[in-house]
Amino acid sequence: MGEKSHSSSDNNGQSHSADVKSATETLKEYGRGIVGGLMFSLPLLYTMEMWWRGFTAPPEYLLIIVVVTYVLLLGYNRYGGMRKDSSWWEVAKDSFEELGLGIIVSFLVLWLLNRINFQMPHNEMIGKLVVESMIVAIGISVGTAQLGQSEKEQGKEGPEEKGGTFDVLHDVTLSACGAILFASSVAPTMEIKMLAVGSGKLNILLMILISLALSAVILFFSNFKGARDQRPPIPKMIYDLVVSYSVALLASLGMLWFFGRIENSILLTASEMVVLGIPASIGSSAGRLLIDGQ
Amino acid sequence: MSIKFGNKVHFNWLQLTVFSLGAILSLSMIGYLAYQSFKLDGIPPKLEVVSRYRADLPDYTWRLTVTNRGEETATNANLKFTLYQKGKATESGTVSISYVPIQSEQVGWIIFDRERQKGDSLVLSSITYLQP
Repeated sequence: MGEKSHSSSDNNGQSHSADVKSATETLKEYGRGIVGGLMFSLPLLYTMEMWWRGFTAPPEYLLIIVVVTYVLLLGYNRYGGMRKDSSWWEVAKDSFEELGLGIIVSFLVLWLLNRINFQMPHNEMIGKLVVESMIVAIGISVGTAQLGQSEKEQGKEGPEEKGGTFDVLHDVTLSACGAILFASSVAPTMEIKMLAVGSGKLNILLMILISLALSAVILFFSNFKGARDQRPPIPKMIYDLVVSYSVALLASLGMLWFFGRIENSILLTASEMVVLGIPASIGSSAGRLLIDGQ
Repeated sequence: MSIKFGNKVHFNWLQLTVFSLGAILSLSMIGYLAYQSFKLDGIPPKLEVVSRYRADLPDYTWRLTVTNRGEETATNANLKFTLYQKGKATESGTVSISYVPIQSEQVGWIIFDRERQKGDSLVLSSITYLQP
């Protein structure tokens, strides 16, 4: 996973094979990924709406979530977790490893919490596993890349090299991963709907402005980790803001759809998107900078 | 030990194990969900209730088993039971269950104040639930 298939020297100055890491190094990397996965997703493993969605969601919804997660992992491993010279084979391999670890970790935690057992119907058990393990897998992917300092310093292209360019796929992928990681902890809850129902037009408008302002502060005005030292030109700033907030809103819509919160009323659904869009936009901008691993 | 695939992808034994496990788990999951999507017709929740008097327990206790034979989860299920003694409704009780997943079995208990009499029967007088 992450940057593991590169030649490297570890903290002790030991050099390694040009292509293959030792099993010990791999084990450390998995440990790092699992810790990262749990840090990002443990609240969701403790959230009853997530378990419920596991057995209330139609199987085709779950299927789509598995496919979307795999695509996000491919994107993250391509743009956020590995060097530019990684082949798609390596990216695909890493993504399968992360999915597998996500499923195993989720199974163990849910079993430990007695949320799954072998007496329950298999579709209930698999449903819960699917819903939880997908977020855990993204957390593992990000954790693997972000929690290992010594290896990531080498071979990665920072934002300085990319600054000023418009790499839409890169930005969209990392923004989507950040938005989903940050906002998925509140997306399944009823509170989103309650807040949307209880918000007037002025509240909604202010929420949009606050989301944009927070994104702008994070991306351009706070020397956030991973942010550029110098502010980019205005068109690039507008582009970054538009990408960040658009992805946040789309990720919100996707999460609302998956958790069965899309309402018959377009206005209410739009309000829910804006409400959920606040944490999603923070994730989309801050998460994007953080998980870009600068 | 390392294994090489093609020109660029290399594995050590641990990576190969985890990769294989991940691929098997993920593809099995996808296969299972695809099969379920194809197989299930979306039959609404169908709750089957079995009640049984438990003479071995103190008080006047009935054990209730609720099984969902449909193809969708039932939510907020409310089951109202009426106790009939000598042909007359004497007492009633309601059991509420948040979720009854497909094919799952939920167990509940109902305890009445009255003394048991010969010929008592427990009747499910109403059942309500929501589709998620």
